[in-house]
Amino acid sequence: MLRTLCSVFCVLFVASVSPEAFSKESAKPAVSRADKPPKLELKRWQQVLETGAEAETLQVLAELKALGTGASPAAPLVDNLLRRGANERTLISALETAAALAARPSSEAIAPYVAHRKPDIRSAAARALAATGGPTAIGALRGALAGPDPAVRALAATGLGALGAKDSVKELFIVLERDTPEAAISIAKLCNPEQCDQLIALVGKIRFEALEESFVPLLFRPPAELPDANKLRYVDRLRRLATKRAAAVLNKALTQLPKDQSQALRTGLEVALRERPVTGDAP
Amino acid sequence: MMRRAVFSAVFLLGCAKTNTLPEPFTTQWLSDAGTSIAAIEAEVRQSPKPPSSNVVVGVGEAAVVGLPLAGGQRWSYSAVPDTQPSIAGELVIFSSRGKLIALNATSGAPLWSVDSDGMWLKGAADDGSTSVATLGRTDGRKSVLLVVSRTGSVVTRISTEIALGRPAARGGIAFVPWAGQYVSAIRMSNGEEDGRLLTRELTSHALNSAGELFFGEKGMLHFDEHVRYANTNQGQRAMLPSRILPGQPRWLGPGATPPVIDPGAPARIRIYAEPVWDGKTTSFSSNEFVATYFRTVLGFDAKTAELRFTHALDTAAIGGGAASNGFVLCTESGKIATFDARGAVSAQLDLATPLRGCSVSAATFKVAAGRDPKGLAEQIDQALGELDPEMAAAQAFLISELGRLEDPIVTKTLIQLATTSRVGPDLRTRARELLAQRRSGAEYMLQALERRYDFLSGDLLPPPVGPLADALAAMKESRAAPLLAKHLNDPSTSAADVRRAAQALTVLASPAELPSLRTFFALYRATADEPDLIASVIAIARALVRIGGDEGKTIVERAARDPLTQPEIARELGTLTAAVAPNATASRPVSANPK
Repeated sequence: MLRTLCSVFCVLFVASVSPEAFSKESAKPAVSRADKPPKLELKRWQQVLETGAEAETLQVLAELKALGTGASPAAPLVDNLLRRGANERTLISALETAAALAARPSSEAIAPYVAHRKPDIRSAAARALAATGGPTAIGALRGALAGPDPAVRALAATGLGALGAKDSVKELFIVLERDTPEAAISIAKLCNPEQCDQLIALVGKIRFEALEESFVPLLFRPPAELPDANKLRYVDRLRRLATKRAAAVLNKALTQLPKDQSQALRTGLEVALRERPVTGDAP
Repeated sequence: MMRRAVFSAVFLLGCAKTNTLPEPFTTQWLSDAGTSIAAIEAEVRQSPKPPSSNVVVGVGEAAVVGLPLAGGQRWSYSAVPDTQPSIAGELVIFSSRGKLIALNATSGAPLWSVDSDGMWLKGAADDGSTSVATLGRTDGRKSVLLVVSRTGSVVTRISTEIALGRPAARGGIAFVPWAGQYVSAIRMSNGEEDGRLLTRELTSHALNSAGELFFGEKGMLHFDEHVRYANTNQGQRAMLPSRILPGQPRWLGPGATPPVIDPGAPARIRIYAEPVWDGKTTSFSSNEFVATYFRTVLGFDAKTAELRFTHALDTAAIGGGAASNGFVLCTESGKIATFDARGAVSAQLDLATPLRGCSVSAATFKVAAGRDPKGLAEQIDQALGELDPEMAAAQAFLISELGRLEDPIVTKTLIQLATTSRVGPDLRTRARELLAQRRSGAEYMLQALERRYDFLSGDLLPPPVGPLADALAAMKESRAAPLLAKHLNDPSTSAADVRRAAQALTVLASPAELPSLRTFFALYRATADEPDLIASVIAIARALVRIGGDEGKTIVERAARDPLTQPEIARELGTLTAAVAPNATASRPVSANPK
């Protein structure tokens, strides 16, 4: 029960702290949650997407995007468009549509675009992969971490966190230390206890701002994944910084602390905010 | 005036009993068609060759330091020379603060000191018993010729408005170049000019090399029985080949100017060579010459000017000379490097003090053979690795030399140079140009293409894909196809390089590359907006038609009809598809899952 509650909270929380573009939930338009199933016009869509002029194509893509995951049977049509290629405007629209449909097989067609020479196209592709997911998407995003575009590296770092790509933590650490702060949040979501310790060990070594957003998700990791003992050490590390920004992080964690988190963590945060040691002997 | 007229009349009538001119360095002399200098040559030929010593003499902050090359103690003499010391036979002669000073070249022991009238030493020579020196000022308005006996008495002193060059001596005769074309033969015992050589080439130096005399500046004329014909350019002469070298170094420079101790580039950008006489012809020792460009040493064939060897010294070379079978160079840190004729480092000696100037006499010194030197390509590679970007002129020269070598290892070096920040962008461009022209070293090229831009590993300079593509296509190296196909779709590969890779793939691609080519075509047929990318898409379309079978043709045909395809590309695709046979599948949509 506790685990379930925690998971729910974590999902909700992660959605709240992540950029919208990377949340599968947020990629699904409200229409898809409507009770009435959408009307699928696969034949018309196929005809337009294969032979239509730019305006018609964009119109159909907009329709599909609005339908969201409800129109996922049309995903292969969008994939085919991507495989054939199109101009920049159409491609970006197709990638956004693929993200909205969130069909895992679409990752195959999207993946090459993450290395396109046009920055807007590769950024759209990175966002789309974070929505479609699967091993292909994870592989392409890990490849994008090694690429030359800082914006795409940032998107890839965030996307890997959203997709739960635990194998990518090592690479995420590398890009984090090379000015990709987005990687910190993903590491916080994915790290095992040893890797989480490694993240906290970066405090004082790289800019605090680069790590700041990662502390709350780290502290809110389910106890089964990250023990309280670790979290209390992290709280104490932040307390010892004795800065306003560190205090703000602790305060945010305390005020937003999910109910399923342990009392020990709550107490630790309270004590830390009163500037007392939380891992040492009794005060 | 009267004297001049009388001299001319006597000379022209040929009634003089001797060849003695009425006064040395007169400009009223009329050519005697080599008669007088031939007589001097016949006289001198009977005399013993002047001695020589193999020694390095450096100018420190407040001392002259010397080291015999064949072994012996380093010596030091407190003095601040005005100009570079001259090594005159067994003596070291220099001017310092109004004195002309002679030391024993082997021991540094003082031999004599005479008044220099505040003039600076230009050059000095010694015939084994008597020394001759020319002195002057930097303005060139006045020169003095001093002849000094071993006991330090001034035997002859001639003051003249003529700018005298560097002298040589043998058998009691001083040979003094002047006015760029004369060499006056001055009898050292009385100062009379007993003969004169008129040459038809620039002459400001008289050299004594291993006992043989040579005259010249850019070329060298041997002093032998043919010298009488020098005025008609028929003497035994040799000249270093002309070649544009880093910094445009000079060999001897103008001999009429005092050889000031130069703290700047000219002293560090020099040529060193030694004329030799084999009994029949004049040539150069080891048939080589060395050029220095600060820390860079370049050894050349003295006939063809082809590079034979190269080294990078620890600090800049500021002096040197040719040995009988190699070279001796001294650096501003006081180190002395000897090279054998193959360019192998033979020995490293040390004057143990930083130097402002350095003179070397080594014409009869036999350099011990060093360890077998590496091949020239590896020597260049090593030198380039040790030179700083500020040595750009030398780096550029060495890179160009690399391009002339067939050795496959050159390809490896050029690849490194094309992707390193160790050299400037101009040199990287030059390395790329040369790399594109390579036709050997395919293995190194393929290894390089395996590399990719990788932010994670810190490998941030992609390989020189374009030049490698050109070279590998010319070599018909089909193993390059999959590697080039990967680089097509790598955004870190420049558009210009993508274009060259695409061109290469029109030749090299096989059906195995179809997926990569198809992806590239899809990504850019409607988004290409720069000439290189447009050309790349068209090239890949050709490759698709060639290797893609019906599927490839269909992709291209459909793209040609698609209004979204970039117009220029669509036009070319139309031409391309019109050239191939009509295809029954043309109207079918492209496979939904082409992979």
